[in-house]
Amino acid sequence: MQACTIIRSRLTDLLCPGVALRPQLEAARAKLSALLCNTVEKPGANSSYLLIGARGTGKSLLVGRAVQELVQKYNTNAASPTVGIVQLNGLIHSEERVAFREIARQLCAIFQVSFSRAAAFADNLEFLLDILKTLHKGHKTVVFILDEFDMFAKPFKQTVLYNLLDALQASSVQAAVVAISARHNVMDSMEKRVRSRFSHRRDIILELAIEDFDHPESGPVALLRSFLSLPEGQCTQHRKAWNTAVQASLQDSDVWKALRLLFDKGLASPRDLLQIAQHAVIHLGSGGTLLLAQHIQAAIAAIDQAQNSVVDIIASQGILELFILVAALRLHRKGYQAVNFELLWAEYAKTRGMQHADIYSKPAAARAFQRLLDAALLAFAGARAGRAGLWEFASVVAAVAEEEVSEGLQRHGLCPPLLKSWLAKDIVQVGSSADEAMGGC
Amino acid sequence: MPPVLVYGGPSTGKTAVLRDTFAHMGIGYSYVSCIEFDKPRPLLQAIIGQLKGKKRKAADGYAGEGKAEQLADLLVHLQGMASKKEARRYLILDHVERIRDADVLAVLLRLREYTGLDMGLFLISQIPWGSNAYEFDTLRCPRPLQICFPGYRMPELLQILAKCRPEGDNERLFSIFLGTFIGPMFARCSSRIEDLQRVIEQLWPEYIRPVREGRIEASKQQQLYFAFKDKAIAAKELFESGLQNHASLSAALSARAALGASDALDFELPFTSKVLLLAAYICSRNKPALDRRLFDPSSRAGRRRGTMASDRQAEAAAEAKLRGPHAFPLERMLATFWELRSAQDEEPAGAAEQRDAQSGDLFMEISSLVSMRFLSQVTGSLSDAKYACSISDEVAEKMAKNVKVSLKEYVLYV
Repeated sequence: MQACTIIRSRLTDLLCPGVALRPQLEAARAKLSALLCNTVEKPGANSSYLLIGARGTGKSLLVGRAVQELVQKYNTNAASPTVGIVQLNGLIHSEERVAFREIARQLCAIFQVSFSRAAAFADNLEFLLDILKTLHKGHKTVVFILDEFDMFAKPFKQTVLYNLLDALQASSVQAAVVAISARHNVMDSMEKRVRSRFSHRRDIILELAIEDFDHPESGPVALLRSFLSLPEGQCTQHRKAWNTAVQASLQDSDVWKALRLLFDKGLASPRDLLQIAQHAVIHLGSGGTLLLAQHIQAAIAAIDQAQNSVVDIIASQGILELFILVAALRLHRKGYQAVNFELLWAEYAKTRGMQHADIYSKPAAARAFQRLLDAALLAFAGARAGRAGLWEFASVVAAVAEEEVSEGLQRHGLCPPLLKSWLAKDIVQVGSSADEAMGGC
Repeated sequence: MPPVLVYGGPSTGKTAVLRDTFAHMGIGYSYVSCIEFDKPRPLLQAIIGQLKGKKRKAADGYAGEGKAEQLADLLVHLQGMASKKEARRYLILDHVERIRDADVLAVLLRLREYTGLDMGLFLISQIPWGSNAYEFDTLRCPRPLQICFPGYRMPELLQILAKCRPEGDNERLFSIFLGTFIGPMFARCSSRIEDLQRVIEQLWPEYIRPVREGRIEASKQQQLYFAFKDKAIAAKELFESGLQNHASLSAALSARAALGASDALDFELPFTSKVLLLAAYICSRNKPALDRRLFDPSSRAGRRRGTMASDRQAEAAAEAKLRGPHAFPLERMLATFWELRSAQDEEPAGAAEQRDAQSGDLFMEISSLVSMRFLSQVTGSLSDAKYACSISDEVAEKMAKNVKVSLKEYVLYV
């Protein structure tokens, strides 16, 4: 089916070609485009721009689209581009040595200059200033895109930022810096000399608001529709049928309800919605012809289930592990901030009096303890806790909530009733429940 | 394609299914285990080596072809690969939970965004994505698609274990054996297939022996059950899932004698070191306020207490024992050390000069104990360093016997 293939390749592309931006993103994109065009066309109009927004709201998409437009507009001659794009990422290039080498490498690749791997930090910095001046003489512009900007603003000496922004101050340079960050307070963490060189142009991309749930353009349903429907001019013979099917399945009341639930859980950022769309297309498979409500429902369920995965893991533990885990929860309830294996063992040993079938030796309990740590249901209380000293006394905390455990016990096929009541109540009466546990054996 | 996370408990077949799927589809893939390479730099080297697929040579220390000192270098390599228009490559990263708080993971999950390389990335983890373990900044990594491998339920487990039946043995008896003994007794305490396999290997011949020897007919399950029940219970009591399993189970089967641990210390230390360690052990267990009562003869020994108070004290002592050892200053350990020595009557009382003369040696001993990891410095600067003692109760007990100190008199916890 052709429509399905088109949609799939579109959704896995980073710039989602053919998908219209929601109004807020479109406005920011237009602003950024105008800014960059200005920098390219008018010498001396260097600018810096900061884009802030929560993760998965479409910041990178917006910048990517703006840059793509810029490149298409000005780089008409492939042999000598007018605009050079240098992309840096805070996770990777926040160290100055790495950053300037990467800048040099990318600039060399774009403007066909030979790059020296062995160049030192000082050489690379000098090269940057030189090439920026030279490029200005040829009316060429460089756009620096700094993703994860907060990582550049984290080190004590923000050399990368300072040098880049300082270069922009010179009139003999034509460049722009576009910064992207998920932290709203990123301006505060900038050094004073860096902040004074940063022009305070910035935009904040907001998350989808709850009152906009059924907004015709920026609500989650509308976004899903724009991800999944075919634009004009593509696959004309099927377009109408496909779009109607998408529209109908999104109007389905069950889909609507499930989406609303997901939204209330905070799992419906634009990126999550994109993932839902991808899932839906995967569920459709290569055999299906039209997207139906059931595909979207399956996709929503998959996203939702990923959040419940802790319960699954609890439900697949052995009985002894569950006893130890419940012992940890009981101790937490008694007011212990952190527990250790000896405490857990003592708590577990108290159940011996209840005459149940699951009494095991201390080494077995120690292995169970270890497995709980492996499964991250217990976690070391401090960074050092797991390394130094005796392992029996290393302090750990239960990394699950009581509700999750009790749901996991419900789902567990073999969980003795005694264990459930041991979790639910502080004092367990030995009687009917213990007998039942024996009966199960 | 977007990255995929495959998660589930141990031995649920995550790696095997993935591997067989690739084999079935006839696609090549690279496999890197994060247990082998749990530091970012070697991990990157391994990934590059796997993806570039060059042979490793002894000359460059088996470092592989591409050198990736930093993430930036990895990306450059991958960008180079992306421009070559080859078939899509697949990378399987096993045990990702090991690198869950490293930046490498966040970068790997966004490789496509950063390099344009369309690589199929499969992550295998014991920990689900939604759990707190990936909490460091979960949103920094885009959430991968997820496939869950749920743990086995008991019937499924027994079905798998039924495949362990030795060739030619009675199928019905084996399933009865699994259902009555392995299922309810062992599988409840460890659902690891490997552990259970080992138990079966050892218990099954015992169970079937009466039938083989012709003492009990195969159809009389009741008799078989009673003949074997005691052995199974003994084996279960000693069943410790793990490596020691083998020794303890066979011991349970053959002699069923309690494994009498020998009282001898199985390593040797200088006499002073042993006493020092004991002093450290006492300091780490006892509360500082107790020292006076223990070592100062002029303090009132044994105030009269009501039964309530002594009950409360015993409870507090038990609690302190469970809570574990605490750190102590060096001076306290030295004072305890001299008290122990003088209690042994080898030291004429009041030989302060002699103590000073020996203190240099003592500090040497202490530093060597630290380097042997018996003691460790936990907090503080040089002037008021606090030490922790990391020997277990059993070792301390043996050591005390070795140097003839009665620990019971000294370790009271409160």
